[in-house]
Amino acid sequence: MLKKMGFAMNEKMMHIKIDNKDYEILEGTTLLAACRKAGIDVPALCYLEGVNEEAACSVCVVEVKGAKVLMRSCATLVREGMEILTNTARVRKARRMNMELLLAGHADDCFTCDRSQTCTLKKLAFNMGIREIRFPKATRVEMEPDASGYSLIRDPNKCILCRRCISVCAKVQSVHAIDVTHRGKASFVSTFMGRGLAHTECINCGQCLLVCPTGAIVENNAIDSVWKALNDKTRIVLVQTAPAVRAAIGEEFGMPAGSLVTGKMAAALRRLGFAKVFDTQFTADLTIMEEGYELIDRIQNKGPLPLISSCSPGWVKFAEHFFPGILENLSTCKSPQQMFGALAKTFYAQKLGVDPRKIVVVSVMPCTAKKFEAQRPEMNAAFTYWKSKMQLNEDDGFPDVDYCLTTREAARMMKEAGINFLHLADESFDEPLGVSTGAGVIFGATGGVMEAALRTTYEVLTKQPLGKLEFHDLRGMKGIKTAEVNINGLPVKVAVAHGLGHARHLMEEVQAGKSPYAFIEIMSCPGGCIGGGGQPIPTDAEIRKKRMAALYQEDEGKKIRKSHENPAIISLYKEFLEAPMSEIAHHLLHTHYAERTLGKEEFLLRTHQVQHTIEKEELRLEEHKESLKLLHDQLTTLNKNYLREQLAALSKNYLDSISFVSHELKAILSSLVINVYTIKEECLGEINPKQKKVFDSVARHLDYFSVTVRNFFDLGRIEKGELMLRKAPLSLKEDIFDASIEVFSKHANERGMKIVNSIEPGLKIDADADLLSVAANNLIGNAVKYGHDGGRIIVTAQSFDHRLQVEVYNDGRPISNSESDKLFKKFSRLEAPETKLSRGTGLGLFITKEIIKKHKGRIWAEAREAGNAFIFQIAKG
Amino acid sequence: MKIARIGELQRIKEKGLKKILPNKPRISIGLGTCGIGNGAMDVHQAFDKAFAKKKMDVTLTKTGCFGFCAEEPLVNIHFPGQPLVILHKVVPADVPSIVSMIAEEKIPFKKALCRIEEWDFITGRIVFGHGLSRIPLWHQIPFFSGQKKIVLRDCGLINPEDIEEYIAVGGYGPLHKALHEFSPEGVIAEVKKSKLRGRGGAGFPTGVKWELMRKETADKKYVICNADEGDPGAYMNRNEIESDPHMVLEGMMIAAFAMGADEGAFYIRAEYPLAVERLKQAIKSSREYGLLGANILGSKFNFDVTLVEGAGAFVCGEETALIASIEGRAGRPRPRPPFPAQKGLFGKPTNINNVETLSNIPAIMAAGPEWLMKTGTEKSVGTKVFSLVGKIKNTGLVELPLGTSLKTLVYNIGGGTGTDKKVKSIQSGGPSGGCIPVELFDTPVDYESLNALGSIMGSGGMVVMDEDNCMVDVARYFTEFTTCESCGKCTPCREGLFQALRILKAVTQGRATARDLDVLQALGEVISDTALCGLGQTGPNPILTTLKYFRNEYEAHIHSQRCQAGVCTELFLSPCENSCPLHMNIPGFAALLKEKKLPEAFESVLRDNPLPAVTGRICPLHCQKRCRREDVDEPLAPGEVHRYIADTVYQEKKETKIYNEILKEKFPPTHKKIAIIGAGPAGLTAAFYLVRLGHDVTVYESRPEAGGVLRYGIPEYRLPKAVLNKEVGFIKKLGVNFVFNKPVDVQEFKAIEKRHDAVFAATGAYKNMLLGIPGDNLRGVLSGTAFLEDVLTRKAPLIGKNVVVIGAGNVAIDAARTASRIGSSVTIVYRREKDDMPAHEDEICEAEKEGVRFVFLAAPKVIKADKKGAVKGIEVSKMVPGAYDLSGRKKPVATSEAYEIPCDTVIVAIGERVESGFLKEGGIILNNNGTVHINKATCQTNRFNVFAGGDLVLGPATAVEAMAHGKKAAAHIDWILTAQDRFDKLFKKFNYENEVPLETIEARGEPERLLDVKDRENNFCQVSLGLSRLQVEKEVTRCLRCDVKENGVCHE
Repeated sequence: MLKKMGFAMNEKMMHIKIDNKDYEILEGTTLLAACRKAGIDVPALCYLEGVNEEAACSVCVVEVKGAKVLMRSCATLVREGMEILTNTARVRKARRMNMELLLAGHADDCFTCDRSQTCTLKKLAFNMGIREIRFPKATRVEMEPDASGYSLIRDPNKCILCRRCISVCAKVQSVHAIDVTHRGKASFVSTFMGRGLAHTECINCGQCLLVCPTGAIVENNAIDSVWKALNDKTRIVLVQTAPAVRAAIGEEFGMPAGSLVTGKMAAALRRLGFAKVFDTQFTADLTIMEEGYELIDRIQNKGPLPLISSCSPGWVKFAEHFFPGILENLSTCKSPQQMFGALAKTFYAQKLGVDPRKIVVVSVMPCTAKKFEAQRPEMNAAFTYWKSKMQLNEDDGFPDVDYCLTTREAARMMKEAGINFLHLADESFDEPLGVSTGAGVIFGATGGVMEAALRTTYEVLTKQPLGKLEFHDLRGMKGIKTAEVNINGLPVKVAVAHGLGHARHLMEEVQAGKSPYAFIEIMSCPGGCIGGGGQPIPTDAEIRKKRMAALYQEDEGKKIRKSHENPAIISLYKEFLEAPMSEIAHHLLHTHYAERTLGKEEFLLRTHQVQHTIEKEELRLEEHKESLKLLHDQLTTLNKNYLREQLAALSKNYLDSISFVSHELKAILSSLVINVYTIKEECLGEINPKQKKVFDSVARHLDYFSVTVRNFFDLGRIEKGELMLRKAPLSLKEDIFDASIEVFSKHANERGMKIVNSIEPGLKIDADADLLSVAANNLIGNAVKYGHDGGRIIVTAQSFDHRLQVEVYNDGRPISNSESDKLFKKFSRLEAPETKLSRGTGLGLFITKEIIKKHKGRIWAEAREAGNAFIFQIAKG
Repeated sequence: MKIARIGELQRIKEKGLKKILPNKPRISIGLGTCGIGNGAMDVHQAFDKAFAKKKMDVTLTKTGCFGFCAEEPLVNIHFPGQPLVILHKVVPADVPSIVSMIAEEKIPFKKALCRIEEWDFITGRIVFGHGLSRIPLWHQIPFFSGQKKIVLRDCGLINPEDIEEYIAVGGYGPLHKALHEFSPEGVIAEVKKSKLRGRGGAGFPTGVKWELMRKETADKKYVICNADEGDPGAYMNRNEIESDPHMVLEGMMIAAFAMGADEGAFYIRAEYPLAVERLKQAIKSSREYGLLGANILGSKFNFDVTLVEGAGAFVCGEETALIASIEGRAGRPRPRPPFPAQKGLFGKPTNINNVETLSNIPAIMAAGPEWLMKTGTEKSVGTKVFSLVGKIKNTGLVELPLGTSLKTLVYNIGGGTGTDKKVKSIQSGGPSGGCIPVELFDTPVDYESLNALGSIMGSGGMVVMDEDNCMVDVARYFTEFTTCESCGKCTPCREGLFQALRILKAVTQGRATARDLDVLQALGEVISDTALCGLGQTGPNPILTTLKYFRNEYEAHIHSQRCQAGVCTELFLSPCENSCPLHMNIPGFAALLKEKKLPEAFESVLRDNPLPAVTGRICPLHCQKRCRREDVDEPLAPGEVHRYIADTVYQEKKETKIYNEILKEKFPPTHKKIAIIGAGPAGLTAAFYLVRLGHDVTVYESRPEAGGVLRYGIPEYRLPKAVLNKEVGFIKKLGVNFVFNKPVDVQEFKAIEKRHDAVFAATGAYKNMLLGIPGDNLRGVLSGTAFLEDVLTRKAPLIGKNVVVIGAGNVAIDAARTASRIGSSVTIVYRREKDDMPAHEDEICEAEKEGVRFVFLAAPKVIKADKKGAVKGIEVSKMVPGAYDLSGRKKPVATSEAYEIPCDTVIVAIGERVESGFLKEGGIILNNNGTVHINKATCQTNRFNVFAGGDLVLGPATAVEAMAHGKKAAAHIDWILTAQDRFDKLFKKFNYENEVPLETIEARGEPERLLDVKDRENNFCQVSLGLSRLQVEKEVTRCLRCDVKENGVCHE
């Protein structure tokens, strides 16, 4: 009867009614237990007696008279006079509804689910009469399964959040690798920071898998790999089976728990196609030899005591995580699985005379942690053994054990192969690696290793036969078991623990230096390997006991029950290993341990994460930059548009004024010029030289002034788009350039310049005479202005098909490239010595360019050896 | 300064009293979170500066909150010897004038809310002074009138940061009493005797809880105060701690002493920074004064407390989750037993009480358990503090004696919604409480009564909801909250609430089916029944109560895809369209008009509403009440807009083209015969749609012309008959057959039913209700509708010079204004007050302008006759307003006083009834009040081919609602006759810009143009002249275009 903490336990009987019938139930009993006692199977999903009492699933509700709401039978204790109803419409409605809600939240790929045949959820749904799920699917979070571990895969989408796995991990194993994170509908079972089982203290024991009511936790399946190996005819596939498998695999085929099926199992494995069917019990005996001698050695040589067994890979990882300080207490012996692998690929390969690489070692284990153990990088003794002998590279490395199957996986393979397991005749294991003793058998139960070791060490040390082989103190389901053996008058205390929660207590003692024991056996799983994470489901306390009994029964039936009496072991030492703890034995059968600091990994992982975050942030920053840039561009465009508009308004204003002013000035100027010249040329009478000088100066200024005004006038027209083209046929030389040269000839003469017009006479062109004259005047004028005294000005023209190219050359300082870029821009004047002397508006060439453009032509400047050429091309017509 | 003896406590008390009643003015500012939020800090600063500047000798201090949050910031002013005056809504700008008045020792009456002459602190009593009767006493203010301050006894009156002021009003006296005069068992006995129940919500007897804990033997025990107030909208605990932290602390000490605990913890929300700060301060000063620590007050009692800030998970209000949270684990509940009293914090016996429960303890110790039992009901003793929020005028903290009715809370104290919207429901107990409909507001507020309604007391949140709240959406909102806050441990809460939320979302989006409601109901029940903790068990309350009391709203969402409240945006175009019974595309025609597409606008209006010009004049404008423009300045006037559209189109003769187009689209003849009984708005509308669908439609009408109430009930000055003729004309033109002068009795009805494939009955409500008083059959007593019909049909009505109209509805006003136009002097007599009149506000206003007199609070008693047997006067009883009734109005109560109003005519317009006898005899099922029972979604009666609508179904309602029935019936008649979805093809999509005005320039609505009052005399000229073109053009630009949604989502 379950007694809740916090309650007085005075064994009082409570008088209650269940479905209107009277019962007497012990105080402290849950309603669930009471109902079950009354023969009513109240459905319960999350409840796991003594382990998971979270009352989460809400399926086991019953009606209690007087209570406002339905009560959870798993979490309510009987009270005097309580009236319980388990089968009312209200109860059924609530149970069904909650079940439907769970089913809606569960990814139901039942066809392909590992737990299809053993799913509690499915079974309950059927039993509760669920015919329809009234809710749309609402699986957890559409998350990827966590397949980071070597042994276990967790799929949150199949999880119904019953929390059994968490409770087993925390309460039974004291590992705390998983817990619920987030809240409400978003909650799910996860590892620390969600980084996957492989990166936690998970010891791969698989107890969570055993208690999971659905397929949310399954083993990392090796079936396909094994089939593949079996199909490969070039390879020799050996199989070894652990002691606990034979006491359980029958259950997979419907046999009652505790059925011992060693012979059928060997036969079935042979049918699957394994070349040899061997027994891990053989190496269990070998382990006892090595470990026994190690113990003897430590006792005699005051080595670190207690010696602690190391057969259970979950325990080894547990010690590496939580008790690094006691690693030297661990036996250096490998587990029987790994000893077998090492021997199969050395001793047995040699015996067969085959390349060890041809041999594939498959193990059938009651254990999920074995999958992890087999891939530990140091577990490659055979490779190390052969490496120098066969001159292998590091890359050629191979593990001692290739694939590990759980009991369940092995059974599934047999089912797939169509083997009628129940009708198979018993067969025996192959030799030599199949010969074992009773000592090897009991390895599968908690206390077995210790018992087997004591049988051997006692006899080796005392040289006397052990009177009674059974150590009953070390058997059974008690969490921590102890015994004392008198060896040569010396009392040797030993202890056995199964379930790592119990182991933790012993280890804390060891760590504190207070342990009174010489030898401690630890098995990760409750009950030892018979209760391992790879065993058939269900595996509960009752079933564990039955499987255990089967192993002890096999031990009793064995002729040889002590490891050191195993003839195959004796000959193995003789033929190959020399002696226990010999050098070769040390190489092949022993290993070492190291502290597993998640800290370091943690640090790296965290660093990685931080880096990742930084990168992400940088990326985001980049994006921000991008968008900022975009924004900036937009703003710029906006700005530009605004400026353009403003400018347009402004420039219209400016053009209007230019046009107006220049137009007005032009008229006044014309008359002014005429008048000044009339006076200057003395048409109105004589003037004295002083006056003439003044008038010369006035005329010069006026000339410049009129050119400027004209330029502005033209500019105004150009910018306002008023430059109208009035084309007419004309002759280039005569009509245009001769006239221009005429205008400037006086200036040219004054400076001793010579102007050559070598344009072909009569060269006809269709153009606007006025405009072209302006262009010609500008070009010739510039040539005169910027040419040096006494220089030449040459005007040439070349006629192409439709175009005409005119060049005005003058001697002078050649213009640099950067300067020539500026030449044709409005108001641009070169900062050059010659420009300082002459004044200009900086408009001439701009106007010229516009005129040429108007004629569908182009103009450019070319620097020559000792001068410059201004060249334009225009269309002829 | 450790207090060890009673004498020392007494000395500090005297010191504190001098602080509370100094011999100079004391000004204290309410600096609770509510006050600070309303700017009280600035007010405090302003006072500080002003006093410093003027170098005035006053005490400026702070207090907590006096409870009236809507009136914050509150400022207390007290001159020695005078009453304490509470000023309200004080802003910094008021300060200079207040300060100068203080300087002259004057009270700023303008800002005064109330005065307090003396105050019962329960642990002590203070007399502030007497006088100043100009200012109402505090409990004369409606908000405070029903309240009793036990928990809030000190709040807003003392400085929460000064332990000496707390001691001054008697604080820590009860602790001293408990320690020296009682044994722990004795204290528990007192608490048990007081029948105090846990104020955290569940209402477990506090004394019993303590006793269980006391019995536990352990080396260590804890007491915890739960101040993790996580309900949205509830802030009682915050305020209690902010305003009076020592009260809670003292309660906890007494509790610890009684239960044998020596350590306590406050679990308080980290989101309450001010409360945390004040509590820390209180703990600190308590330690300084030796009230925490060893040998408290000279006894052997040792006690100290820790303050734990909660991260704000709602579930941490549940005690086992709360304990887990304090222990540093995730806050998830665990099954009980073991109860915290057995295995609590760190495995030790632990007692958890709510802030308010503990606050009651010192009062009980001071005044005795019998004193507490005088307040409240037999089972629910004492008071409970509620935070009154939501659609309520007076928001604030209300401390009510348990057993007070919801009605008193909402109307007397809360002052109703404060708008013209009606209260619909109240949600008690936070997100996991239930929604109680207004019909049940007589319910007393106590633990059992609320539970019986499916709600809970909870921690005391009270959220008031009005017609603008969609109850489905309310359920969705609260369920979303609980879904988010579910810890995720147990199946029903984690998966169930999630699935419930899914269904609720589907309902609000119009995707749900009727079956979903059944599933939702069952789901809610199972979650309540099987969830692990209180959160889950009460989580479905909003769902279950709304399903129970507002199922019609769920059904409207599912069957008609309608959200009447206009909340579920997926279900409608815009709030105005949604509220329009005819579902006119208001933003659409406004947009068309804005784009100067008048003919399209008219077409859009006409297709939705066959009588646009008519309804534009008489519609009560449901749309306008929902217009979101109201939040900016004033609502749009869509009625005026479509009146303008129709009037203008008719004026410009642009309708012909559109009429022809509609005529052209007429469906080919179906050869189905449909009879419509009654040519009122419902019948005409049904005919308009059915005839266009190709059916053979015949309208049977008892009167000589079509229009029903529009023609025979609404006076010409409101609706010129020319307008009606124009629009009825088009319906005639569409090919509807009218059979006039054909009253339908049962034989005729049966014959009609036989001749036709479907019948739509819409005969309206004309039968006047009688007064049922002596003399109501005298000559000169007329019925309102008959009188109006006589005038409208140019029959000479027999009314005299002095007319009394009884009633306050639209018919009464119409009758009064008509009588006044004929030249009578008219008095309206109404038994309630003016604000209670059901008639349209504008109509009442116009009637007043036209000289109609009103006599309120007068109920007709007897109509007196002269010698000739004609009316000579009416004797009325004088009424006084009584208690609120469930409509939120004060119920008139007759006094013995009566007086006579002389008159020669009495027009009775107290409501109309339907005449549905012919249908009843014809086998149609009626409701109790004689209206026809129909399926609201289809207008179908119990016979599949007989439909009914309009007033015949609704009782007296509006024309537009009747038209909506006609429209709905037409759609379903067509569907049953043709089994095709053809109805939607009668409508058209128009193109217009879908642009939301980016900036909203405030522009108030255009004023209605009205006929001058003096021009209305002796004629029936139309009073409302509608809007001008310019006004309408301006009006349509004001539309906010709520119909424009991006990806189905409204613009922010």
